[in-house]
Amino acid sequence: MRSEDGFNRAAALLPQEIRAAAMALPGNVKARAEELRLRAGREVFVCLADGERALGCRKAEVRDLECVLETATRASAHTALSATAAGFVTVRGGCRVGLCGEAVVKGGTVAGIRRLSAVSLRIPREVKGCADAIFDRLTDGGFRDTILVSPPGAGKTTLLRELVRRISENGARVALIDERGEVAGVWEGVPELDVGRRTDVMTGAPKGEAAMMLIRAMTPEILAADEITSPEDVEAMAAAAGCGVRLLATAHAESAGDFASRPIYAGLMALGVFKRVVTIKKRGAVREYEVEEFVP
Amino acid sequence: MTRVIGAVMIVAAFSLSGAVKAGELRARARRLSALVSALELMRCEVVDRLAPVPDIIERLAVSGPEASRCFFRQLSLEIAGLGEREFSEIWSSCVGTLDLRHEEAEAMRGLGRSLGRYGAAEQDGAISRCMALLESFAAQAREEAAAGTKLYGGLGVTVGLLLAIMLI
Repeated sequence: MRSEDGFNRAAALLPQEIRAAAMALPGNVKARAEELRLRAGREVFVCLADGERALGCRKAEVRDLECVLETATRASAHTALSATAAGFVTVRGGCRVGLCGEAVVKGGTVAGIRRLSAVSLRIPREVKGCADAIFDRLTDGGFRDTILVSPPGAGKTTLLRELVRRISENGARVALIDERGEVAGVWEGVPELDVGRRTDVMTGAPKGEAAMMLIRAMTPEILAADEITSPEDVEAMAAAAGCGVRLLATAHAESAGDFASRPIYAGLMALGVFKRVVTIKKRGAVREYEVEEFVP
Repeated sequence: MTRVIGAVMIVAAFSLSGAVKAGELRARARRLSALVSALELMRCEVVDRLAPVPDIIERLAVSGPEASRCFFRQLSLEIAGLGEREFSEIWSSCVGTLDLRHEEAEAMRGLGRSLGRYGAAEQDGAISRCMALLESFAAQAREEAAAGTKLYGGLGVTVGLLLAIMLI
């Protein structure tokens, strides 16, 4: 996928007038854009690594947010609003549409979202070569169970995708759990983002079930998963660790210390599931990676 | 003899035109009933199965109530333009191809403004409202058809006979 393709796909979801303004952005801005944000009654912004920049078109209206959702879901907003309380829907090519509005609570849990107030279009990006600085270190002497950590929006998914691709191209059989469809952007069975020739992708399923299915069915050497955030995800990783596969996953944390100290990950730390941590640090538009070993 | 043949032809022609008119009324009632049935299927698919609207439309185009298939076939073709045109515009233009009275078409267009755009509960409400309206129009159409069948049938024969008598 070319650097502007992801932007063009995200922009295609916008209402015509706003889309025209987005498409008129200079090529270098499109190539660097990370998100497009529409907030009801306010200007539309394009998010770059160094901040948000107004598109310069009319303000977004609620109708525009609904229109984005309509296009993203192929006129089937109910499939996103009612079926998931996760607050996003992933569309073709791995573009994630984040939703914000009035939460519908049923039985004490969020059952969906109605009356949208903001929408973010996260632009998927392949950054081939972004793992060059750490790849040799991660694979020297054999790949060890690794967790990639950073705050949201720092590039965990991009690094995961590139590591999966490199590992796969190096000859290892990788199984990727792409629960939200963002990593591989599978469309009609074919990944639209390059995740390597020896990578099998399972989309849509919760990590716990997907991990066991992949281990049984596809016999991977390395099992990769994006965003270990819930107790169920943690359980899935712990269970998979005992099955003889190497793990590669991402999690929200500021640093290795932050990851290790979080109660939700205490079980993983106690079991010594992950041997290595890569911390992504975002300095302006530049990402720096720090590799550390977890000391048992 | 020629006069008799002419008289028979006149009676037949007027009877036929009466039957055609009555047939139109029955067809309208059938069309509205088919739309109500199709919308009921759509409602179940949206609410119970959370099925995507394009998939539902495709299914209705193939196996929906026969009198509604043409509408859904057209819709399934035009939905490819989603993104360039809003769904409500696409729906509305397809409603325009249906042979509906103004208030019936408006009920359908009103549904197009909600369909696919909101959560299942809101769509359930919109589909049910449209179905209720169309059902009342269908009931009215059935009554008109029943009355019309007798009226236009009888009128055709009577006018034909009168003309024939006058000519003979």
